[in-house]
Amino acid sequence: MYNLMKRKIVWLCSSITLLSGLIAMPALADVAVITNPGSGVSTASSGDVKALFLGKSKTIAGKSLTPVEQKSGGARGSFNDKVLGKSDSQLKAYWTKLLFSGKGSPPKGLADDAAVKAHVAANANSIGYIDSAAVDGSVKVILTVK
Amino acid sequence: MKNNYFVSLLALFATSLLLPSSAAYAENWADKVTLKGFMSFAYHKTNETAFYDGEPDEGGIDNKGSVKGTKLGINLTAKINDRITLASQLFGTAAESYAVHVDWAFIALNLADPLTLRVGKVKYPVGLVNEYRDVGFAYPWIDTPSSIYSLEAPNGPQATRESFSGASLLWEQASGDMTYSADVYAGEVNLSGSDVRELKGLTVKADWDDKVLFQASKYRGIMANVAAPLTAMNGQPHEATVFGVKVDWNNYIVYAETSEVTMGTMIAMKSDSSYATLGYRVGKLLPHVTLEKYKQGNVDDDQTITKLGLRYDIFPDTALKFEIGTIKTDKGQGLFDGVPSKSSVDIYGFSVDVVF
Repeated sequence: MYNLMKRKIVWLCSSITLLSGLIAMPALADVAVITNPGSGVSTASSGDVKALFLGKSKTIAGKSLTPVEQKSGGARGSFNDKVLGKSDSQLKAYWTKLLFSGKGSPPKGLADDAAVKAHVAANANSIGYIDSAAVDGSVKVILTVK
Repeated sequence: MKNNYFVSLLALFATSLLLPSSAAYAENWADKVTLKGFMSFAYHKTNETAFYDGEPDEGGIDNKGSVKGTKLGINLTAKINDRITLASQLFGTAAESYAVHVDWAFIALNLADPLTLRVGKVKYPVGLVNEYRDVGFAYPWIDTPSSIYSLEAPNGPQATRESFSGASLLWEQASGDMTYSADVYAGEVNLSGSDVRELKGLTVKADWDDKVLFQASKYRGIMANVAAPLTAMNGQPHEATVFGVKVDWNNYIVYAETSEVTMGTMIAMKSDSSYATLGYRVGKLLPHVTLEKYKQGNVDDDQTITKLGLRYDIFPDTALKFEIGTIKTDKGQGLFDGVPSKSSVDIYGFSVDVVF
């Protein structure tokens, strides 16, 4: 009886560990940070991009850039996690404090990779991020985050 | 403080956005204007008849219970161009029958990447959360700790205030995961029965990736138009020094601040206040404990507060909060509107905080 109970507990714990591992580690896509081909910026560090998307800087390499973000989707999660280092709730708390003290507004949100790519391709001073698989010649990649 | 001119101007501005226009015009304004809001429904009650932290008609708490802490704000930001932004906030509270006033409104001119000049009605940059003190969703407590943030102390000097009219030069520089800032400001505060003239101040911050924030503030002004019976305060220099640290790291939450406020040589109007909050985030729950101390002058007007609180983020934009606590006044009245009938007063409350 004792051994049966012990096996059940071990099985239960193993199952929970396996499931939580699967839930906690979704595959995060590679993210390409993109600008307009005429932006004048050829490369950027993760820190430069982070400062720009958190409103702590307005330029990269001396060029004024306006960030756009994605409202949802895999690229958003990857970007927030790998570049900004924040969860969705932490990012919301961050912008709530800045917004309601008049010190900053979050970047404009666009629907998906295609919308961000089209916006950046059409606006010389825009910067955004998309799934690296969605990159084409209409935009320039200044940073890839794996 | 009501300001119908500002309200009318902003209402006209907001209405103009709704007028029929070309798609290009609408898209242009949609890119430039941000409209956000917040609301908190708050209920507080004590087991004491003397009002705590406020006048009877302005939201003080007593044994009858009150929802006067309920408040609503609308935030409007218009980006005029890459360098100029107009930011404003309309605000109303149940304590003031929701009479809408301009909480703050300023023009921000970005002079260079790290340097911004703000002119207008600017929120006091004194205290860790003062610049967003009315947005309950943004902090753990139902209301900001009264020992530092009370604006209704009928018998004591205030460490911070709502806002000032004047100018602020804000320097902010990111370096790796660190962000450093310095805010130099000057102006005046006009309140009913109490002005602060020739206000000059400096607030400096060092912020490590929004995980650890150190903040120090110092300001000086001259009291004016102080109503009876405190007319002796007129012409007295009013100074305050405030230090604070905030931590949000590995689910640990810490807020701690201490302040010293003086009114010239008036010993009775000198205050020393401090509080510390420690919490631990467990998923959507944030239980926390707060200890506060308020000491004024040489009149044994000490007060200590112990509070237990729980925040529950029920939705991404909505938080429920519950608090129970005890306020102890040794001999004086502390932040009560009169000497309480008992030296240990129980206080409890709950709130719903939303941003939209």
